[in-house]
Amino acid sequence: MTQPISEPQTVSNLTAVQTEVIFPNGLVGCPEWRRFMVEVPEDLPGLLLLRSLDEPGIEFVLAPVLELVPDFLEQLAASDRAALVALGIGRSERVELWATLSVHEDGSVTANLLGPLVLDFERGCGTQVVLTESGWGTRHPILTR
Amino acid sequence: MLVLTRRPGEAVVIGEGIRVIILAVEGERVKLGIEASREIPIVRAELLAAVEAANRQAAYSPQRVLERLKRALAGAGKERR
Repeated sequence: MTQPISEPQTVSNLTAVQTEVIFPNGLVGCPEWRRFMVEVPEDLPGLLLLRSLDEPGIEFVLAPVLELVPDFLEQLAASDRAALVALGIGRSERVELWATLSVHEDGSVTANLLGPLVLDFERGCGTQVVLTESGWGTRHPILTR
Repeated sequence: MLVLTRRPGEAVVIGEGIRVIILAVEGERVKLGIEASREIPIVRAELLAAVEAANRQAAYSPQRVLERLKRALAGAGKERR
C-alpha cells in the first residue's frame, strides 16, 4: 500500500446523503453518461460512489485527489492548474477534485489522476478534466497487491 | 477524411476560429502551432483514449474496488493491534 485511504473519514462538504450531479458534456469518451447520483458508501465514508442515472450498472468509486496526493495542485503545470481554477477548484470549498478508482486483475487499485473529476456541489454539476501537461497517468497506484 | 499537403510555415483554417500552422518537420515529427479560443480544449488524442479506457474500466467494477479497499483496511487494522 503506497498511500492513504488509511482511516475512514467523513466528507464534510457533502451535506446530503445523496445528491444529483450533472456532467453537461458527459465523461471523456462517454458523452452519454451525464446524470449521476453521488452517495457516500457504507463502511468507506472517505470515498464517494457516482452512480449513473442514464445507464444502469455504470458506477464509479471516487477518492479525493488531495488525500491521495496532498500537493497535487502545487505539482501541476500552470496551464492545468488554471483549467482547474477556472472550474472553481480552490475558489469554493464546495468544488472538489475526485479521482475514479479501478481494480486490476492482480488485485491492485489505481486512481485516474490524468482525468480527475471536478464536482461542484454548489451548482450540482461536474466536469472531467484531462490534465495534459502535468505527467500524471490513469493508473496511479494507491493499493498494491 | 480531408487530406491536405502543407509545407512548414503554411497553415489550414478550421471553421471560424481555429488555425493550425505547420511550424517545422523534423524527421518523423511534425511541430504544429494551433490558434484557437481558450474555450476550445486541445488534447493529444492518445491522452483522451487513455482516459476513456480508464473510465470504462472503472465504471464496471465498483463493488470489487470497495471489497478490495475494505479488505485492505481490515488488514491494516489487524496489523495495528
